[in-house]
Amino acid sequence: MLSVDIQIPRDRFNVIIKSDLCRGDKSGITAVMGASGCGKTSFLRALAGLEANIEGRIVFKDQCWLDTNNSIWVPPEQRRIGYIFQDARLFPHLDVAGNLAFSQRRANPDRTIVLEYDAVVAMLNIEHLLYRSIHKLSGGEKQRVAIARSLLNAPQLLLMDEPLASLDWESKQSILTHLKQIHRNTQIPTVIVSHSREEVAQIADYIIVMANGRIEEEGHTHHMLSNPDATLTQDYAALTVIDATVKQHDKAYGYSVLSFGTETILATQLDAKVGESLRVLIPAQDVSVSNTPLEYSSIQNQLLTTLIARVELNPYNWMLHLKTNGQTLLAIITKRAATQLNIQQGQQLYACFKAACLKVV
Amino acid sequence: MLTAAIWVTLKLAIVSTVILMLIGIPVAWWLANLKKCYRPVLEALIALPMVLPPTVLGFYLLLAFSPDTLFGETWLKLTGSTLAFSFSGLVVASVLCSMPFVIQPLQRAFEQLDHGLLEAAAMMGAKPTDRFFNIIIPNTRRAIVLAACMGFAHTIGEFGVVLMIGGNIPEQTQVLSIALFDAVESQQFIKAHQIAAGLLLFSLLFLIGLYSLDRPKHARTADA
Repeated sequence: MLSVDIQIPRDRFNVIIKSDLCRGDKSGITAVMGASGCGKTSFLRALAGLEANIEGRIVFKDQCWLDTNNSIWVPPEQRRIGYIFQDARLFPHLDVAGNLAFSQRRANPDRTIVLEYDAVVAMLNIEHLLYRSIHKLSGGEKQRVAIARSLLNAPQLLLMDEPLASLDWESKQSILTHLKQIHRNTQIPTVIVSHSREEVAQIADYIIVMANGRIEEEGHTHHMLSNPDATLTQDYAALTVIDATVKQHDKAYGYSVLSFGTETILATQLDAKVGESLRVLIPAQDVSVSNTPLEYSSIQNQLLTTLIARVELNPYNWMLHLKTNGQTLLAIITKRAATQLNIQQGQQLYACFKAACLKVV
Repeated sequence: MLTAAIWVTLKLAIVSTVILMLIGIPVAWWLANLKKCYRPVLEALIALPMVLPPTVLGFYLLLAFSPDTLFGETWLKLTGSTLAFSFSGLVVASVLCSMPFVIQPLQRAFEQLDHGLLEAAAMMGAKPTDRFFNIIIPNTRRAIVLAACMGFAHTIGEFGVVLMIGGNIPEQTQVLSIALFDAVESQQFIKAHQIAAGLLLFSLLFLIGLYSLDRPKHARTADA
């Protein structure tokens, strides 16, 4: 759907990207990760047509946006892309409604998806902000307005450049939920640049890791976050993503039971219907292992797993890859603990983690 | 007599301001986005009338207006009259003299304009002219009003260059500042008082109006 073969000359290194995005099994939300200055933003700006110094070819669906061999360059205003900037970029001379109207008046005439004004405003929860000056909005509110503004333009592709980077935790969570919901409702192909593992784990279906201007690794979220060879499983920020279904809620104790395969996980009570599928994030730092079930412990989740791999995280710590019901669970433990427990490959271990450490989206 | 001078002055200021804005906005935008080594040279050329004695500019303009030069000759062919000692010549001279007062505030404003807003507008399908009228102009309107006022006021205050190239022809090129000079020269002190006081009052009121222009919104609500 989005075929890219480009080269962007830069001072230290050239950004060279050759990839097919958002196509077939890669559909959904694609996340581009990588250290600062690795060329993520240049890549996104190149797709949008905002990068002037560029060579190569970009084809989206049946539209050729760039082909330097044939002197084709479609200006940004004709690409019909929704671009969410890190700094929102609301127009200061207009109020919130004015910003939305500016975009709606110039909406893509060939739109296939019609997004109603009221529906978009409701979806992003900005009804009460409509007549406010944009100087009186918080960071999270600004970003919600920017997202609504983009959607009203009926884009055929959504590009987001670290849309949550400057926001506080609460705004981040609320916008992440909105983004997931928007993608479910509109199915607009989305590429999001982020350096936050947690954000990406929550919303991405496909992950691209860039370094020094090139794509180093790419793959489906589950694979990228669990494969022992993937760089994303080789640091302290590593986390496990498990797809689970809501089984029941316990109102009295305020927890929810989620199931995957034959296992269940207890989480702090969720605002979700029974039967709904959700993504559970378990930070590798918060998982401990035990040879026997813990009898006298407050830890609510103890899953019986098999150790399938261990990778040296640094001279003092192991990253354990634990398998249960077809899912891999990551756990970081010290080498001292590994020696004390006499941990061996193929061994059965109880993976233990608190209900409170989970993030469910 | 006096009403004729007032009329000539106002006509000159209005015509010059319109031309100044038509030339100044695109030139200021171009300069603000120019990333060439010769930019300071262009900026210096435009700023010259601010430091040069107006008589110097007037002297060279007189030379340029002469039918012996290519410019003067072309003008004569096209219009059938010379620029020297004509109202059109005054307009050309005032536009040149007031240019820096118009271009500088515009250029500063265009440089300070967040170009990210233009990118955002482009992503929503706004073409360059659309972006110009609906993003650039509204976000720099204070500077545009300021530039127009500066051009207008400066043209009214012009003396030297007008004297050099316009002479002192009543009802044609005699503006108020020249009329005042003329009145003093011919010892018509009552008339001189009227003109001087009038210009003083006008300038003062004009500047008060200018400085009390609405402050930009974000400055007003910065502490909100």
